Amino acid sequence: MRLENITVNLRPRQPWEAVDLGCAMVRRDYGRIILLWACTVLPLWVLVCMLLHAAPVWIPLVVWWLKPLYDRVPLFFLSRAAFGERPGFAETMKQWPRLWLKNCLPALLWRRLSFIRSFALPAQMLEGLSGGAANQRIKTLAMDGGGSGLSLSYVFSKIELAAWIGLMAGTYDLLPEAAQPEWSGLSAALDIESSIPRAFLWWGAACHMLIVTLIEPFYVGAGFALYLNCRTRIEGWDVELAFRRMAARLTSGSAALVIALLALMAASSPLHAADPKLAQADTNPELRKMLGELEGNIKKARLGSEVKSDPAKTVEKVLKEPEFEIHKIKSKKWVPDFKSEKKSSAEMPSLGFLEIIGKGLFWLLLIGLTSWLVYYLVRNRHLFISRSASRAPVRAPKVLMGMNITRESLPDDIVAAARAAWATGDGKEALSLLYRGSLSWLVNRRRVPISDSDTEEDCLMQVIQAGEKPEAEYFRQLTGAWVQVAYALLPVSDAEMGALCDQWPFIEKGGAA
Amino acid sequence: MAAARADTLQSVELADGVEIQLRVAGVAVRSMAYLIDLLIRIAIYIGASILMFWLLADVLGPQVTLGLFLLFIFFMEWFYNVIFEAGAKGATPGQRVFKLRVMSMTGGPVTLAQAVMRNFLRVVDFMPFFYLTGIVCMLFTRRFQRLGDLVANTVVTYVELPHTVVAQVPIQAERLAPSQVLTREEQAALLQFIERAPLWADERRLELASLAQPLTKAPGPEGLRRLCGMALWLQEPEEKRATPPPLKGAAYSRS
Repeated sequence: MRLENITVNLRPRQPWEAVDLGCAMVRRDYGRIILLWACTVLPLWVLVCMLLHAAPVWIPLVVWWLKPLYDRVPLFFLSRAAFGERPGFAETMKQWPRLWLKNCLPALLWRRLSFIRSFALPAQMLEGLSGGAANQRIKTLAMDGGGSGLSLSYVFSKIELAAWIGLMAGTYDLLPEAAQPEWSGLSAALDIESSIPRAFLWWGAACHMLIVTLIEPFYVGAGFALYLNCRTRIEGWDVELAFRRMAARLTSGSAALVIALLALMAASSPLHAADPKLAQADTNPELRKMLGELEGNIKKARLGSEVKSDPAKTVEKVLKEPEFEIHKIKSKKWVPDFKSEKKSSAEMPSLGFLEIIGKGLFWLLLIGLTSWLVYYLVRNRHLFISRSASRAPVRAPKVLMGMNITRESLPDDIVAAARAAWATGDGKEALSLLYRGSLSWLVNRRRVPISDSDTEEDCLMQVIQAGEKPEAEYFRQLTGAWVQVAYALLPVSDAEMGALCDQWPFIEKGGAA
Repeated sequence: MAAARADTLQSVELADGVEIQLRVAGVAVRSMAYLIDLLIRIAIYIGASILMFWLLADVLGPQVTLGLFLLFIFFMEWFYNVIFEAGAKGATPGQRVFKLRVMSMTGGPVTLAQAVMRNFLRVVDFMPFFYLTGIVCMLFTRRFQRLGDLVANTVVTYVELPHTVVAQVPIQAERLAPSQVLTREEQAALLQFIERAPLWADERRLELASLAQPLTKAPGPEGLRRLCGMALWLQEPEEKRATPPPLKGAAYSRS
């Protein structure tokens, strides 16, 4: 591991910013991390599922409890990637058993509920300390970054929970009905095992694993970045790395010599007198090349004791640089193709008759369609014309409240029949004849909108609403009498009956009904 | 190599070829700020419901009061963030607790239109529930933007510069020009060293100074003294101009 090759910009950060740095580090290599994750964690998950297949409700809890194990492979990868050497698949797989076994028991037992889990993990796994020394070290680090490590765990458990609920809510409607628990019965039953379908529990466990896979690497990365930030602050890691790089550069010798020489030359050059920026440009090969040319110029100048620089050439060179490149964007635009249109009309002058035929066909078709439409309308005119008129007979009920009210079922002279029935002492029959007769008239002639589910009360309301005051008034009296006789079984007086018969209004003008 | 380094500073190139650095804030701190805003809103709703039903219910009747209360909730939910973010501070109370603010991608304050757009799209980020879309989106975009941010071209950034303790103790070292020309990064490292050295233990200072031995050309405390001298020399450009460094002096004398 070469510290100089660091691929992370270290500088003292606020804790939250360090967390963000961790997220950025994970995002950079998310694909590889997830691949390693899938190869190491998924087998464990399958194993857990197989062991707990009888009680899937416990799977998320066990998966959550085993989290310290999952963290180690991503951390191993991240710690190597931070220093420029991303471990390959085979190498990681070789390290896998060692990573999981190291400090495995404490991490899964008494350290499991530690709130600074992801912050302390790098200290445990990467620093090579053990026992009391490691504990002391973690304590020291936690004095500076422990609080942020704690809030980190809080934030990420919150995010994980939110994402889990979000995923479950988002996919809930896709579940088959058999897998959806009976929410209303849940509180009453209180027996989770029996009232929630097992499919639902399995689905919840799968969602949980998916979310853990999504979020946990970021949690590990954030903890690692917090650890780096902590060491940066209390130990000056960023300064150390910069010094190491500087030492490497200075001791490599030749480069330093060249820079010093160039700076010297640059200082003596009338064109670039004392420009310290040129000396700093050692990392940029282009600039170095330019500096080389400059050196040549200076040498020439010194030999000829006069500076000869061709302004035109310099300008040309400067204009060739990428900053002065003119970017062009090609885009296609639709232009009407007049040319080809003309051509086609020129090529086919004799085909004008086609147009006539086409027009003729069009008109024929139009006429045919129109006449067919007219024919169709005429043939089916009853559907359109007689609609409003024919509605009432279609809808007119034949039986109301268990009584047949068709015209055919009634005698021709209803009043006479009623009087006859009254005379024999059958008051109920008499009133029933009158009532049925009046309903029959109202429904069939007056088209009062009475439906077959209406009661006496409803019929009366409809009749009153339909207007025709005298008829409505009569019908009201008749209904009263009929209800009294039929339901209350109270007799009606002779005078009343006589009045009902005399006032019978449902007669066609100029003859008996 | 340097370009590929992971960082939380995100550079944005503006129209004039000017590059600015944004200290973008990620999902963790933003979720905390959101939580605080949520708690504030809930507290306001509780307070408002007590006040409105106590004062207005007798005058307007319970139905009208309920309607007004629901209207109030509607406007709070949709415009709470908009008003604060488009305001002078550019941040909601929750964001101010964590020293955050919403910025346009160009580094300027957000316009009202941007604030409206990024907050109305909250609904999309909320889907399917509890901001799952927003969380995933923030985790996987370079500037930690959720969909609303991407559409409105905004970022959430830290307001305060990182808190660094600058040494208050006088340093017992004479100003000394570096023996070699240093890159900008190395100069920055030297300045960081002189600023933060008082925070470290003596051993650590010596350890770091010994790493810079190729520059100081001296081991132990002498190397540390020289290193501090060079850092002091870098700190004060006025002095630098008055007495040019020996290297450049040599160049002048030669020409």
